Amino acid sequence: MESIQWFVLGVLFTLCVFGFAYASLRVKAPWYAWGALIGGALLVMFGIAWAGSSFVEGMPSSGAMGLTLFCGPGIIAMTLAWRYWVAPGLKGN
Amino acid sequence: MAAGGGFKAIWERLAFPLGFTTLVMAFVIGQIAAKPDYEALLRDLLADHKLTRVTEAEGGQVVFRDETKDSYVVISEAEGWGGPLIIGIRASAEGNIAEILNLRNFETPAYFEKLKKQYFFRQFAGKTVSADFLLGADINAVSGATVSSQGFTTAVRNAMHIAATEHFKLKPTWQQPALEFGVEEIGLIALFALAFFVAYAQGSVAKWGRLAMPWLALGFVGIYTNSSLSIGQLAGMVLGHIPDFQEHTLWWIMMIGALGSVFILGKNIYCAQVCPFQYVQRVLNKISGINLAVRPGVQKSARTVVGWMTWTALMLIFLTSHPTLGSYEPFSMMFSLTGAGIQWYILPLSLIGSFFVLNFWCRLFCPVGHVLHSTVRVRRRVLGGAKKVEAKPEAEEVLPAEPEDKGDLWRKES
Repeated sequence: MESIQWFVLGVLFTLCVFGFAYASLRVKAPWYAWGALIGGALLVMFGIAWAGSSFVEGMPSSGAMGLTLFCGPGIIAMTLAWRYWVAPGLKGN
Repeated sequence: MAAGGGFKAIWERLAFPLGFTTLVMAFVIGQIAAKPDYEALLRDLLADHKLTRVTEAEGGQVVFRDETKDSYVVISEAEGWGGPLIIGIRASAEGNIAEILNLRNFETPAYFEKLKKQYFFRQFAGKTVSADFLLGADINAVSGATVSSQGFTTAVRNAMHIAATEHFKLKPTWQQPALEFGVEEIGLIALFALAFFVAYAQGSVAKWGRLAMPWLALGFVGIYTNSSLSIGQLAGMVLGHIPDFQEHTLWWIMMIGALGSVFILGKNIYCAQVCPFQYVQRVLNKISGINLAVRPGVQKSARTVVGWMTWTALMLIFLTSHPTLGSYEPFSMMFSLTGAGIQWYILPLSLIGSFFVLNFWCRLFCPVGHVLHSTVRVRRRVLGGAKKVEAKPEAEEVLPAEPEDKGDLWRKES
C-alpha cells in the first residue's frame, strides 16, 4: 500500500513537472499564476501523502481532513490559475 | 440478443417489486430478531454480579435486583441520535440513583465519547426518583451531542417517574418537559416557507429568494442546526423510532417539510432547495467552472448503482434495526466534523467529484435523494400521472436528485 502511494506520488510529480514545463514554453503567465499552479500541485501531493498514510494507519478521519483541507484548496488554486491565465494563453497561441 | 433484451426487460420490470419485497422481509425479520434480551445485556455488563429479575415490578417496568451491590437496576429505553438506546438505572431501595449503565446504544461513537468524557452520566448520581430530569433545568446537555444527551435524559426520566408514581406512590411534583420552540424551530419553518415560495413563485421577489436560499440553507440547516436528512432518519421512522414531538420539534418540522412536500405536492422540495450539501457542491463546481458531461448511459448506470446502494443501506438498517448502520451520507459530518467509518472516505471523494461534475453526490450516490425522488415518481404513477412521467426525457428521469428549479442562477451549465 505504501509502495503504491509513493508510486502514485512519483507519477503525479513527473506529470506536473512535464505539464508545467510544456505550459511555460507555450504561455506567458504572471509569476503568481505559476505560484498558484506549483503551490496547488504540491498541496495536492501533500494531501495525498497525508491521506494515504492516515488511511494505512487506520485513521480515516485524519485522512479525510487531509484530502479535504490540502487537496481541495490545491485543486482550487490550480484550476483558477489554469482557467484565468494558462488556458486563455494556450487558446491565444 | 433477443433473449438478453428479454431478460433485461423482465429484470427492469421486476427489480423494483423485488427490492421492495426483500426490504419488507428484512423489516419483518429485523423486528423479530431485534427484541432486546435485557437480562443478557445486563449480565454482559455485570458478569460477576448476582442478579435476579423482580417479577412484581409495577408500571410494566423491567427491574433487576443486584444482590452484590444491594441495589436495583431499572431498565429503560428512549430514542437517541442513532436510534433506540437502552440503559439500566442503578438505584437504592429508597429511589436514589447511584449510576447509569449503558446497555446498548447506536449513537455515533464520537458523540457517545463526548458524553463520557464530559461526565454527562455522573449528573444523575444522587438524584431521587422525583427529580425533574430535564435538560437545561437539573441536567446539563453536552454541547455537540445535544440529541444524545436528550435521549439518555428522557430514558432516565421516563423510568424514574414511572417508578415514582407506580412504586413509591408519589404525586407528580416534577416539571413536565416543555415544547421546544425557539430560534431553530422558527428558522426551519421560515426556511421551508421560503423554499416553497421560490419553488412556485415567479418575479423579482422570488429571484431574490433564490439568491438567498443557498446561503440560508448552508448557514442554518448545515452549520447552525446541522439537521440534514439522512437515510438513517427515514428508515428509523419506518422502524418506529419516532422521537417525542415536544423534545425533538426540529426533527418533526424537517420530516413534515420534506415528506409533506413529496406526498402532498409531489415535489422534492428538500433536495431542490433545503439540502445544504448540494450548495456546497454547486459552489465548488462554480469555482472550478468545469462541468464534465455525464453521458446518458452513465446516468442510467448511476441510477442503478444508487438504487443498489440505497437498497443495501436499507437492508442493513432493517435487518439490524440500527438506523445509523446503513447511513453513509457525509452531510452531518461535513458540518460537524464528526462521523464514523466509511463516511470519512466518502466526504473528500464527493467534494472533489463535485468539483468536476455538477451535483456529483446528488446525481450519483445520494440515497436520500433517491428515496425522495422514487417516492415522487411512485406518487405520480399512483395518482395517474404515469403517462406524463414516461413522456419526460430520460436524462431528467434518471438523475436522482437533480434540482427542479431550472431558473436558479447556480445552475447555468457550461
